Amino acid sequence: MNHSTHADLRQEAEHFYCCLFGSEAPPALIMHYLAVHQCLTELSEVSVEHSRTLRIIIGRRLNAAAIEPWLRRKGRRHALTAKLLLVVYLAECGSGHIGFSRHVRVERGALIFAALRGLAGLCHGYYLRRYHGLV
Amino acid sequence: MDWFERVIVGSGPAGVAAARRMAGQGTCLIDVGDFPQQSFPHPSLQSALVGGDVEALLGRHWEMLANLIEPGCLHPKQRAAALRFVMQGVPFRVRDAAGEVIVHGAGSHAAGGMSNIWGAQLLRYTDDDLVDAGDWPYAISALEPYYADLETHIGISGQVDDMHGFLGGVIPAMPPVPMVPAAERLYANYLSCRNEKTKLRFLLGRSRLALATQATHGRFEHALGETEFFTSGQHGLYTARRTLEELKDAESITYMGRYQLLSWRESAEHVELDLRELVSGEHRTLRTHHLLLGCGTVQTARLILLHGKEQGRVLPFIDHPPTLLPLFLPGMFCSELPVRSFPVQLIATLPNNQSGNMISFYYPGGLLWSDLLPDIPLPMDASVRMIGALLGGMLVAQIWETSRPVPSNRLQLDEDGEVVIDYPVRLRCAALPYLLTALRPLGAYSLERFAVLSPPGWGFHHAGCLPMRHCPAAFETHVDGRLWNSKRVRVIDGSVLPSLPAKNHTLTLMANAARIADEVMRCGY
Repeated sequence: MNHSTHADLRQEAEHFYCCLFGSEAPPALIMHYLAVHQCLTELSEVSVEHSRTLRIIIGRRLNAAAIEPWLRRKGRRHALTAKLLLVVYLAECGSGHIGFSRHVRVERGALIFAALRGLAGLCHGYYLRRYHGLV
Repeated sequence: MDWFERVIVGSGPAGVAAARRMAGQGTCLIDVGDFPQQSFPHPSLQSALVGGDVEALLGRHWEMLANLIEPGCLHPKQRAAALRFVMQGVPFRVRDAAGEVIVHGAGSHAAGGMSNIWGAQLLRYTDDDLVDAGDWPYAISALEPYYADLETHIGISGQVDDMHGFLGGVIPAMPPVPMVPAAERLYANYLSCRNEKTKLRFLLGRSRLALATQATHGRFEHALGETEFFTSGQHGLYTARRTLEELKDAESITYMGRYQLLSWRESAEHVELDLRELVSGEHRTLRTHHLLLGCGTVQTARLILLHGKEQGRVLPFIDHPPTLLPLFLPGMFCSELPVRSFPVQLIATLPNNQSGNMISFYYPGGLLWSDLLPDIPLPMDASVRMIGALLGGMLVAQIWETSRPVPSNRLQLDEDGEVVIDYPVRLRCAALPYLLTALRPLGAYSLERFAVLSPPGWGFHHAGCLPMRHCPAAFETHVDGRLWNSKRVRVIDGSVLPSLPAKNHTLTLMANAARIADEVMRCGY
């Protein structure tokens, strides 16, 4: 098991938020990200394998959102999935986040564009996972 | 020593249904009776999200994030901080065929029991249901007056439609909840196909809910604020707690909250109960002529096993683990989502399918949308941008099928006296392929591989541990609720139901509890 320091976690939060939403993470979200790691110890105690994957993704500034679907598994979640999901929860609950605008009509074109972007992201993620040997 | 003519243990649906019948005549209701320590401080989910109230949504101790590492084992309602008070009781665990623990559960310590987290569907069983499920010792006519009385007391919303016969013929007192766009389209397509005399393979209608869609009898209308996954005790949504409060306010019963039943001794004249006050730990004894156990299937079974001192004894156990199937109506993607909604929208059945089945169509928009993202096979950044548009054309079909006792699905106590449920036999959902075919002409699509079998024990439709029989064997009950070897101790909760038709069993277990309460009043001793 590897434990992350506050600085590591801050860097994680910033990078994951940027991968998901393409902008700088709000300070409140980073604060909450650290607080959750303090409270949910399982999230901080990452296996050596998963820790290596996280280190490579953050150190090399790889697209974590694209890689994550290839690391999803049944049962216990991969640390990357859990941490990305945490950022998503905090973003959804933090304030009226643009990606989670409820009761706002989305154009069909925007949906198709997002789906195509998602498929392209999947291909990119597959390549990144293989190239960097992420497990 | 305190004396009561009748003592009911448990304030869940069964307990309060029995208490109503025996109100005002020396009846005491004993209950562990926890109340929520936290409440959701927003009238709607939308207002909490817009206000960015992270603490209300995710919990002061991040309770809602309990699924980050291990998904699936906890129902979203069990994660919410303000709903945690419901399950603080004696723990139990469910194991699969490999002996792996797949669900950790606990008995309810909440006033109102498990009804604090139910989906509010109140449905009658019919004679066909009982025949299909088998082993019921009476016809449904035995419960009909109790159904009618409870429906009037609770207030049911819905409408008379094609599901009328399947749902037992009650005329709902209030109109149904408003439909979300996807449900509206599915229902419109169904009506149009039916009117064109297209051969339909299933029946579809509006659900029957214990939810006030309009203010009646001085009671509030439900706000439809999509807060069901975050809080309990909402105005307009019936839970057993409402009946408990009414009985307490009218002083129709003596209520002893925060007491736990430890054991009892039965003599020819009375039953003597040992109780423990949960806060002080103080012990107390009281006597009664009649003891009615309504602690919930698992906890009642545990008490009976402890009472019988039969550590190795195995009891049958029936659950109703539903199959969840996401449904897509592509024509409705990108629809504007409603501001007010309720999860349960429509209800259906495949009448020509061999086994009994019922399908509830849910709108998943009232969850945190992050809950749904790991199920979309795309990167999360894309899923976040798509989820709102997808939800406009999405429903989740929850498929219930008839459950019967199976010898290997059983409940017992381990060496520490904790309940262990083995549930190795989990039949695949037989209705699934038929449902997919039946929905296609209505413009709703999915794939069989998208279906998720929820783990046994997850849905909390538990029953069958102490089945009622005309001639009960050991660890079974008489039709009037008495334990096989008892004159004065009766079981009134779901554990006496001998099999589970493919419907929510709450209204039936309430009606059965009320029927047993009347037996107590008539018994003459």
